[in-house]
Amino acid sequence: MKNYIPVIGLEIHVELNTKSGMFCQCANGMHEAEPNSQVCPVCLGLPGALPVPNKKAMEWTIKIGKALNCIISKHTKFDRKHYSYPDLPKGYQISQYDEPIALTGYLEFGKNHGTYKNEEKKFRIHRVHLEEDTGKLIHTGDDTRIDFNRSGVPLAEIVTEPDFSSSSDVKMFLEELHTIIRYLDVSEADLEKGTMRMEPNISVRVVESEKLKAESQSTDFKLPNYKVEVKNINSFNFVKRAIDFEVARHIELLEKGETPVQETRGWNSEKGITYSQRTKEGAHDYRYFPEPDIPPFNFSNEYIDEVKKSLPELPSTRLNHFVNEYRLKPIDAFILTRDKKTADYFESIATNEHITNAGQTVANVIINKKISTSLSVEAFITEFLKLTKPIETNRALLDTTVSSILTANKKAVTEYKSGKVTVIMFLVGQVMREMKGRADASIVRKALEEKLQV
Amino acid sequence: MSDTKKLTKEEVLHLAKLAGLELSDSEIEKNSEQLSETIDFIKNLEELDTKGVAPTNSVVDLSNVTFEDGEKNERQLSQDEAFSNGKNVKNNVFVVERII
Amino acid sequence: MVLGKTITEIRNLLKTKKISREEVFSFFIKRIEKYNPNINAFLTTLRKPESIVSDGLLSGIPLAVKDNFCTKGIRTTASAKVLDNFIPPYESTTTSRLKLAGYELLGKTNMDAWAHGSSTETSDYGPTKNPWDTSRSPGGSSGGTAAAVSAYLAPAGIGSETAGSIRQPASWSGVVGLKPTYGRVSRYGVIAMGSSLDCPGPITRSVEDAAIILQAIAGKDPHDATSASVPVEDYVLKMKEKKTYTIGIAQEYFEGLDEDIKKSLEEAIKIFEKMGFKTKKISLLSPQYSISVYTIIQRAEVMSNLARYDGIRYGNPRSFFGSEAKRRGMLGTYTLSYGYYDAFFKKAQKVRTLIINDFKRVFKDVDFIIGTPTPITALKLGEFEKYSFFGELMDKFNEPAAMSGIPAISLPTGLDRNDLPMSIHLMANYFRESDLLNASYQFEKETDFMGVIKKGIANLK
Repeated sequence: MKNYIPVIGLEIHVELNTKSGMFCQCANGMHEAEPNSQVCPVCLGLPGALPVPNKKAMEWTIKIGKALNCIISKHTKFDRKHYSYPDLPKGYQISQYDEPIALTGYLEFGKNHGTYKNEEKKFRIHRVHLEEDTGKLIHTGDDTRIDFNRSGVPLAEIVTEPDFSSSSDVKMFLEELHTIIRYLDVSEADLEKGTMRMEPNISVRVVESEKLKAESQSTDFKLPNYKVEVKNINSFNFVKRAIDFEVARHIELLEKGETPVQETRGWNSEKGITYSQRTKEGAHDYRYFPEPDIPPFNFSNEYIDEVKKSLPELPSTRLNHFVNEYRLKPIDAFILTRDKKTADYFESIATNEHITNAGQTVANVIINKKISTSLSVEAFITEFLKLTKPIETNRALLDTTVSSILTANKKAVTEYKSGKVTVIMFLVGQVMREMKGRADASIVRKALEEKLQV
Repeated sequence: MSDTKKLTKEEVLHLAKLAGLELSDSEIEKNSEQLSETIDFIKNLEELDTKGVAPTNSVVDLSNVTFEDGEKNERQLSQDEAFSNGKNVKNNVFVVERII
Repeated sequence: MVLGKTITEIRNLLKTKKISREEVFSFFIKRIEKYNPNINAFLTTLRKPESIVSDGLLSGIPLAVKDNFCTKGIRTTASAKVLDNFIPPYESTTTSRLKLAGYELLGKTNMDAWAHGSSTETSDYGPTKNPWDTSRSPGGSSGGTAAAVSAYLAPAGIGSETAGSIRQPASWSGVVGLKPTYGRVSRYGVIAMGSSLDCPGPITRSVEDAAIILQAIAGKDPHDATSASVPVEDYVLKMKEKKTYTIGIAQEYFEGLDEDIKKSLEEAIKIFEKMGFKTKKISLLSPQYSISVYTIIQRAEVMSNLARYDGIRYGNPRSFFGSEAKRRGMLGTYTLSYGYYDAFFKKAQKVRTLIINDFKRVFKDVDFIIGTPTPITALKLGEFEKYSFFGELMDKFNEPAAMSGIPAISLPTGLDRNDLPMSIHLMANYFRESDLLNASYQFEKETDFMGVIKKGIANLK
């Protein structure tokens, strides 16, 4: 019998939020600006204009590479990639072909990661390179309208190996990548605004039933003879759904003995389907050659180390740090480390001199929103101490309440005495309710236990 | 290597398509001849041994040339200037026939 | 009073108030009105002087500028109908610097369309005629500037060279042409032909004028990442120092020369020897290989640099491209296309390294290499049609310098049996423009270029 395993690779574009463009000084990130108002001869592709690279954009791409455990190339350059489209002013995109800034990295996912118990997983990064963005096209009526403000914005492109065999893994990976990019503070990485774009490349391979388990773990297999690229996906949920849709579509075709057409498809989120956009006849002939207007780059080990040192503690490291240092439950550590600000906030509180060994409690309070995180750290701590102050228990009131609760709940008492000890929680709850919360739960429990022994 | 076969019409049209050029029938014929002639000539480079020789992408002895992010933009064009040579401009955008 | 004067001489007239800048300007405008309809050197001319810098190196001096330099607010076409009505909203660095030096833009000159050619015949606006014989080409691609300077429709001008496009028209038109080291002068604002090859440079009637213009335009430009940080010397000062040099003579550069040209080259060598220069026999890679290297790399860069002309932001549609542009674009596409890159483009880049190393080796022993920028004198208009890569074959003596980026200067040496100008050229190592100018200045003092430049005035009646 035949079985099918999805083969998925990812292409992610991240718009770097530098102040200037990739090859000119035009302001970046001016989303509200009038169309074609943030342009110059360079990014408008006027005759005679020349590109000069943005130093920060190069640095930030190295940062991304390092965060993804890549090897940073000591020698890198730009290349011209030729194709014809109205949003591409020069008729070629300045990109990187055979000597990208970063190569062969990976992202690992440990058992602590996520909202469910994961196996340890590792996904390989093929490369990270730097290029320029195109203008924006809007299609209305009989026209296509072009705004070149976005032309020339720096774009980091991250390409993974086709290591993914499940859409859940893809979603997990992309969410983590998104978190990392935000930690690095190199991009807004806003999926709706398009400052982070994700394109899965999907195919399905066939394996014999007996080999299924072993095969699904393997990354060393013969790639299918086709792949389909899906564009226009602007949420993590949609990525999963688009992949699921595609995989099902491919399997249906393969069952019929047909090979899915190699092409680019668009995701229609309303209908929940993909549709054909244009055929990828083999590969485009981009006629790459080294960009003659830009001298190459040589990075010293010292420089690369300097950039590496400027990296913040990354989310997964932080997560493990929280679990080990503050003894948090992995799921809580995961939630807190989804953005750097929250993680920093938590850590400032947990390490405060007034807080001792209360990491998990602090985490609970933050996660369950018992105290607002918009408060300053000092204000939060004040509220926290108030909240967690052990409650003065009126001993006399406690005794009488315990007695009356035990009297009113004879069935529970019987159950307890016959060995069902967990029923004590119910009884604690009853007492607490009766005392309107003005009792320390552990003291209440002790009092009940004492009374029940009798 | 043997003499270059004259490029076929299909090959010439394929090149023209990639290069975004339109050729008349006579241009196709002429180009087919001339391209083949030129290709024949430039093959003389095969006579030279370039084993172990690095390609020169640029004759300048420069590297790591960049500009500082956030530098003042002295070359920003006004919208008028940006549109001054466009043939079809409406409501501050360049307009072409719809492509998708 | 102005007729035939060099920049230096006109500057003196202006400084001593013997003439005003308006008078100087209108002198040239009148000559252009009279002679340009016939020789078609200028495509666009200005009406009056407009500079606001009164004490610059070039104040009051009108110059002809090749029409591939973007001049803000003034039509710039690269002699191509695709850019028929293109008015750049920005200024090239070269003309910005000329402006800072106080120059007056006289007009934009005709060229081979997109600089693709060596005869100015591929211009979409008709060829420029050689003032020495109007049935002949002035050379190209900077033919308009060379003809204008030769016929004194401008005292000097700016051209650009990708492989011979300054030296060869300077030779065919009988004037001085300087190709600086690649990167010495910024390419920002020059409509690109061969990005790794293009060099803006002066075309003049004296070596000193070339030095003055180079002084004004050379230097690092933050808008051009390939522009050199090497400090700009005082070219005029260094030009006048007492120096002797060693000149290398390579047999490979004597092959296929017209008899008269060969003779004038040999005579020039004797003159240098008489001036106290040494000579040395050297051997260089055959220029035949440079033709291939140049054809492959240049046409690939051309294909790429023409990709931006889609008629959307500027210009006419691509159907307006002429046949030469199409031809070059097609070969460029071929050599870069999938499967052919290694065999052609990459191979050419490797041979380029061999050519560079060849010159490096030779320049350890000599200061200059002597030769001629062209094996023949001015061809009759229409003759180039016979060749499928006319320009590249014709420019074989210029291509090695182009591929390696080294500087070179073309100097008139007399007239041939048809009364057409001949020249020699000197090539030097990177950034040795002051030595080139120095040796040339001495040659000029010694020979007055055999009277060629002065005689050229009389060509147009």
